Amino acid sequence: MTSTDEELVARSMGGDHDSFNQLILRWERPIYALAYRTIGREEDARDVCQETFLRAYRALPKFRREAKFSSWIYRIALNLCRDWARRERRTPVVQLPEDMDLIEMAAAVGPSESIEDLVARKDLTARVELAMARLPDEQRTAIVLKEYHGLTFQEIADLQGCPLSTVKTRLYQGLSVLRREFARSPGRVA
Amino acid sequence: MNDTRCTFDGPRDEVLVAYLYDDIGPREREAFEAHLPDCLICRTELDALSDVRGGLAAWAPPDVLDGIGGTAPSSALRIVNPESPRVSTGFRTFAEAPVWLQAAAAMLVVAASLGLANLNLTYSPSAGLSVSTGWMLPAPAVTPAPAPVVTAAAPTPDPWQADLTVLEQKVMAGVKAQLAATEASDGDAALLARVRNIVQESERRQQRELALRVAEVARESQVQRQADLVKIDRNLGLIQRSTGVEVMRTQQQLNTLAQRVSQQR
Repeated sequence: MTSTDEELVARSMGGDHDSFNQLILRWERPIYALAYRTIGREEDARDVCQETFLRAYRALPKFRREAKFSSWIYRIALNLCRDWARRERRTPVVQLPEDMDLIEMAAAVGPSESIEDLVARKDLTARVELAMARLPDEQRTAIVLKEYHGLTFQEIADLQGCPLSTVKTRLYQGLSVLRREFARSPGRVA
Repeated sequence: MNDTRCTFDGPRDEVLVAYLYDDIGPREREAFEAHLPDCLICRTELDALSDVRGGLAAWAPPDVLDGIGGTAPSSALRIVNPESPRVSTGFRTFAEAPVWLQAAAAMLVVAASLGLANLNLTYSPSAGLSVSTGWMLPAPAVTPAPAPVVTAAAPTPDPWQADLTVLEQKVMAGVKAQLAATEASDGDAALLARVRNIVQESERRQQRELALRVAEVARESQVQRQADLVKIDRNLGLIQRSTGVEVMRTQQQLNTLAQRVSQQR
């Protein structure tokens, strides 16, 4: 039987390392995806992901059990992403070259995917990444949390520390910008 | 129906995005659904933002083939406890001890029992096994010293006690030696196992990396070939187009010249 996050947290707080490892197994990919979509660099996203779980492990005794573990871990990850952007003074989200790198694209091709499909997929991904890169941090984060992690508006508001209506406005504005960007790009995304 | 202005009563943008994500209260949903059929602007925007969401679905982070926290497919990020005590593989019960040690301990127990029971157990090929009592000689009588000096007789150690002590020391020394050997061999075995694991893991990783590199090279050459073909095709198209334009121009010039010639005639 699969244990819930709350059960695993309780056991982890009691010193059971295996339970914490199960939490990592469960949440490492969502956290990595969040970090990647927020900061746009694979290696840095890995670092942020590892640091997130390390911090969570150290702060576990202070974790209030009435909060959801996922919200807590998302908050840690987002804070680290924010710190990363501030520290590195880098433009978040990948900077794509003018022309797509076909060689790099080839490295990601699956055995069953044709070159044409791969080019189309990568082209789409590149356009989305570029469009997302142009969004302000708050709008991008709100879209990432809603679109890819399925958080409720209230959860996003708690994470971003803003009113519920602000989250909806950020999403609306961000999606509207993306709509214009997609319409403007040579190959329509949507 | 109003095609130029949205007349929704309320925070229209927020409600629209809430409806889009199906994260909306029943009352707001009802109001917005009642509004939608009459508002082309909201319908259009809703469709457009749904398409945007469809496009966003294509954005996946790169696959993490080697795990987030490690370099092998299964070696993801893990918390380990470096302070956890090493589980000793030494024997914990009498049954786990070596046979010679069990025999020595049994002999010690038998010897002690015989000593306590004052029994003499002997074995000879001619007489066979014989058990007799009273082998332990009584302590020599203390000759009373002439008065007035009274001395207490010093107890003479029994010969079996010395044997027992020697045997006990031998057994204890054996136990200690065995324990030390077990600890050392445990350490060596664990180290060997660790080294063996590391070597195996390294071999596996190298094989995996080699396979990946080979696949990458194959893919690279294939993609490069495809890209070259696309470029050649594109360039050929450009050349054909430019050639066609040149031919058209030439034809036009010829036509113009022909017309002028005919006019001059």
